[in-house]
Amino acid sequence: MSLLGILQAQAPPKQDATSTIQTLCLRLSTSTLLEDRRAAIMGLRSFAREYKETVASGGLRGLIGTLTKDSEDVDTIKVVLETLLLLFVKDESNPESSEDIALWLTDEFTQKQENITVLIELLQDSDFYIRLYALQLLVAILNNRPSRTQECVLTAPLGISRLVSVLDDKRDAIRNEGILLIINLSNGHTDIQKLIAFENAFERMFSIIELEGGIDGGIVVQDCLQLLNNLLSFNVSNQSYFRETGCVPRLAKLFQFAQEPVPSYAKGQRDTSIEYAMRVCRLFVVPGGLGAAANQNAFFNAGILHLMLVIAFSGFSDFPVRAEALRTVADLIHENSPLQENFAQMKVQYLDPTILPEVQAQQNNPDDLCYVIEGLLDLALLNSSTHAFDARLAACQCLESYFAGNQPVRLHFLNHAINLHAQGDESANVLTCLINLDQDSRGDPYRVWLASVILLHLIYNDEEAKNLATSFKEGDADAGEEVVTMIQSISGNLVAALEHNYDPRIIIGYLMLLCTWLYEDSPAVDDFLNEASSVQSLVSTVKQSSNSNVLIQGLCAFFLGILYEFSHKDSPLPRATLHPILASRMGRDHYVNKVTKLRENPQVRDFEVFRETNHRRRKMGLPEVYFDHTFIDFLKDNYSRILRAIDKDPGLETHNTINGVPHALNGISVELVDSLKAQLEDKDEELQKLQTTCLTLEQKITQEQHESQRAKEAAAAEVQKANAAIDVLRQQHDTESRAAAQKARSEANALEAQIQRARWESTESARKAKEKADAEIAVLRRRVVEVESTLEQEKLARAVEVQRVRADGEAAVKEVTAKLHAAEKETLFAHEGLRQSEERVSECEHRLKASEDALKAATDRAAGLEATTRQQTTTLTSLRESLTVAEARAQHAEKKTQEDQLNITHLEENISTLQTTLKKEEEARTHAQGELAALETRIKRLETEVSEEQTARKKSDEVAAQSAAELDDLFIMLGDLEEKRRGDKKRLKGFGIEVSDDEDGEGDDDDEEEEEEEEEEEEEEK
Amino acid sequence: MPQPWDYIAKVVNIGDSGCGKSSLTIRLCEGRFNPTHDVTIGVEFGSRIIPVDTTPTAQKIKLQIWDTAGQESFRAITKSYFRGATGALLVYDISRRATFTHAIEWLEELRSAADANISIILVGNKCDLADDKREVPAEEARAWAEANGIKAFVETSAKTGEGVEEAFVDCAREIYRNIKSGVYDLNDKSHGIKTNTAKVSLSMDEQTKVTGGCC
Ligand SMILES: Nc1nc2c(ncn2[C@@H]2O[C@H](COP(=O)(O)OP(=O)(O)OP(=O)(O)O)[C@@H](O)[C@H]2O)c(=O)[nH]1
Ligand SMILES: [Mg+2]
Repeated sequence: MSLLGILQAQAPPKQDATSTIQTLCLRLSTSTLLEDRRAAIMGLRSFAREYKETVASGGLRGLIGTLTKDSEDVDTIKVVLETLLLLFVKDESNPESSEDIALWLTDEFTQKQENITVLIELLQDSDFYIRLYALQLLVAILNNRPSRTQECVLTAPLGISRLVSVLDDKRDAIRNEGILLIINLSNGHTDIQKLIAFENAFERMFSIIELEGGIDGGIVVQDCLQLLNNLLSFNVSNQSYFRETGCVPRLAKLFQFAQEPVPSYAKGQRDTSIEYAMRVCRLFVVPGGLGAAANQNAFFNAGILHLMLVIAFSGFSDFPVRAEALRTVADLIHENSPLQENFAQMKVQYLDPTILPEVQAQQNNPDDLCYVIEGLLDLALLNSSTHAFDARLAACQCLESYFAGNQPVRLHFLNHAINLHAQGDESANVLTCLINLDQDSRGDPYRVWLASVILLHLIYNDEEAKNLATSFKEGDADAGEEVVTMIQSISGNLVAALEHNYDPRIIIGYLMLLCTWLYEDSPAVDDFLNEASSVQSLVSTVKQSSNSNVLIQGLCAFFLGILYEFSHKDSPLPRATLHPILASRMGRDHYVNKVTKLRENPQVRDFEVFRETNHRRRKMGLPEVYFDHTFIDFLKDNYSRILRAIDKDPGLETHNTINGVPHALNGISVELVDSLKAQLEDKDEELQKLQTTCLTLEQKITQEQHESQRAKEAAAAEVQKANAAIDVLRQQHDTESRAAAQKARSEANALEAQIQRARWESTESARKAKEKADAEIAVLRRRVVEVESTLEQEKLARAVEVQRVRADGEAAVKEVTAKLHAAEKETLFAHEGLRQSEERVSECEHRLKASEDALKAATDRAAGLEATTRQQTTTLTSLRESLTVAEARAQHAEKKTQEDQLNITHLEENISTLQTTLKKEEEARTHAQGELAALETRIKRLETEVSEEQTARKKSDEVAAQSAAELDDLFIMLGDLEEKRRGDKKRLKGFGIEVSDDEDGEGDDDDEEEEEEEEEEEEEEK
Repeated sequence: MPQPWDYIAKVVNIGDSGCGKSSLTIRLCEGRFNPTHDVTIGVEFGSRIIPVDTTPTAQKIKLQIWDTAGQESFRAITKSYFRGATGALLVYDISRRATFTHAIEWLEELRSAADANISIILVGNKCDLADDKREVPAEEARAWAEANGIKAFVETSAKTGEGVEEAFVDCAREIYRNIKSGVYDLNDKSHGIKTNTAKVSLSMDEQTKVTGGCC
């Protein structure tokens, strides 16, 4: 069977965890019932720890979707967040867990902005776990994809604002998680840092710090300081915001009690917090930084410089704290001359440098004061404790900052040191330390090293200070003492150190100093070359194969290169002599090799990298610090020139040039002297020629000699003139360049101030704009709330309206129903009316019948009249009576028209005439009888027709109308009939028979009633 | 309960957008085909357990397949998933020559981030379009694979399913061969290989009961 076949033949997977999880995932994504979804989520949570991959691959989207879909359901959201957190947790022992899964989870959030937005929205929920879990998820996401997450948070509406507002949460766990999150979020993103700052983060941080108990507040305070650090690091805008919103004094407050003793268990944490706070200070005053000067002044005014010195010179402070305080001091005064001068006047507690630190704490005496410079020198030069190294270096850094950019300070310091040394003063002195290489110095190699570095900073790039140092001499020649210069003393010490293999730090210290000192300074070089054995000693050190110290050999070679480069033919050891010593005795390739090795040594090459770290880790022995940063810069700048120096012909003098401009040697231009010398040589030659060719022409010779004498004199005069001119020029040049420098500096200062102002203004305006925007947002938000409330009100009003309308409707319905009822009642009434009408109709029918009966009776009577003519009168009377009765009846039933009455009267008259003429109508009677019979049958037929018509009329209006029309016809016929009857009656009257006229009126009534009925029917239909 | 596999191996699908990486994964893991192009955002993943030979007691490798996005804008993200990959399917579309010429870039990017021993298979997808739309001859692709140190080449169609199983099975087998010949240090997590320690100590009959499945 093929492999494919096997794959296809695999049994269906049995019910294992995997398929259960799949089922749960399916249910989560498809279920419409919250209950079902919740159950699925609970199930997934129980698998999330062990089956991360399976749960993540099938359930992640559903879980995230729930955050939006079921956001109302706090319990479900909680479980979802918990499950997501479980998926993030790395678990080495679980094969289902991998970094890829956590990364994938992260990408699912960071690739879909809305998912981050949902998490941030959840922070608005006040539920403890929801907030905490949402924060923890954001932290995890941020750790996996920092920059993507930063962008997402930045994009989310009010993202930064919501995150920062977590800091106000009263529950520590949430607040602290929030701090950690914001620390990560602010890392390296200037815009985010600004936004966080504008959310009042500084104020919030200081509130938390104060709430936690200030500098002794523990890890939370440290975190707050870390956050401040992130927000302010290289962020000039935030720095000025911090400064201008009055935060500097709050920062200063942290240091107020920092030198007080604490219980030992709390000391470690406090020292860390203090160092963090100091690092925050230093961010503002990074040398060369843009707002550095403004910040230095603000910090000085807030008393921070003073507080730093108190901490740095407190017997309770440990060396690391003292070191950090001193580094802060160094940055606070760097290149700021008013502060440098202020600084020198400050006093600090005197700490005996020879006393062990532990004892110092007991002897703490804040009233025993000394000048800060003395304190710094004591620490740097005399405190030989190995723990003190960082602090000594920092003290040295303080001095360097004190000197920086301030020549008067440098000259003052150097003069002071020279004077004290000359007086044999006992206090710590740079010169003394360099000159007296005694037992103590050898025991503490950093003493010489630090003294060298301090002097190096004093004379580096400062010709005046250098000349002052070069011109220093010791020893009273008059008293028979040997007069030695400082260079000679130092070179003597260097040679001794090389020969006796003193600690390399001593040798390197001296060499660093000499290299920078002698560079481009031929008089100083000449001073050194006065002692030829020093060169021998250097050369043999470079040649030594036993001394494998690359740094020392390289430095010695480098220094020899400097000596050769700036020597000249008139040097105590002329170039021509020096060159073979280097190129042959030491060897050119050897030289190049050693100098190159030095340059490539990590201590030199990677100096900047090691600078902050390399000595901190060391627990045993001396730190591995060999170089000063200024020297390293110098070495790297001038390396290639010195490397190539050895290849320069000894006849090719460099002399000493500064920036390529020939520089005066002992006040006389070297070039000028050289050209004059050349001229003299030419003249000598000429003279000789003249002497040999014109021996015989003695006069001419004498003349020539005179001439040459004059020429010589002229030349000398010229030399003098030139010298004077040169001096003038030089002075002029010096003053000019100084003025120009001054001007440039003041312009630069003005510019910087301008930049500062512009920056502040822009930050200010940005802040204002932000404030305005915030206010606008607030207004908008308020308006939203207003709109929402009016909406609510409207909704309410509408609800009331709806209610009212409904009530109205119901009333209307009721009314309508009532109306309906009424209508029904009316209908009933109508029915009743109809019935009544019907009754009336039938009554009328009765009456009609009665009339007919009466007619019949009349006819009978007429017949009786026929039979008994004699009884006619009595019959007539009875007829008249019955007529009266009918008349009364008719009057009773309906309103009888006057016309009727008139008719009746008329009829009565007619009848009376009839009665009178009745006898005459005897013959026509038979005929009348026949006609009457026909009439009767006709009436009967009509009656049936009438009843038919009535039923038909009920069926439909039309039929009714038709019926009405037919009825009309009928009435017409009736009318006809009546006419005929009237005719008959006339005729009867003619016979003298009384006839009743009842029917006429009744027939009219019927008609009216029928019309009424029709109307009622119509109403019913409506 | 014990997991039904002996090893987990991480495999990445890479190649230009639209060449069918997601389609191949869906075909393998879910056995269906989606004719629309749902551009992958970042990365997706699925898995499939594959026996390494035809015997009933064959050991099983769970391929954890990371289907990456081909679009340029996700390059930074997808790259972080290359690390620790044991196998890779380098996919191009035989009907679009550009996807094949870009394969070299994908290969370089993969090799710069992944382990040196990664098993790569060149996959020419959409072979159902071979008759009238082919732009990359199979022979040319095979030669290119050889020239670039890729041991296996296969043409597939996620649409018809042709070759899809073979591609992943080839990959799983090569990984298994490497495991057996000791190419990977199984204690070193960076290889993206994990051993099922619980399972390895099981008796044979327990192992045979285990079945494949797909997440
Ligand atoms: N005819 C044919 N079409 C295919 C094949 N495989 C994929 N397609 C189609 O090609 C298009 C792209 O496929 P997808 O798998 O989404 O491509 P993808 O490589 O994952 O693309 P991205 O995620 O953007 O990197 C879709 O419309 C698929 O239906 C195939 O074998 N034959
Ligand atoms: Mg895809």
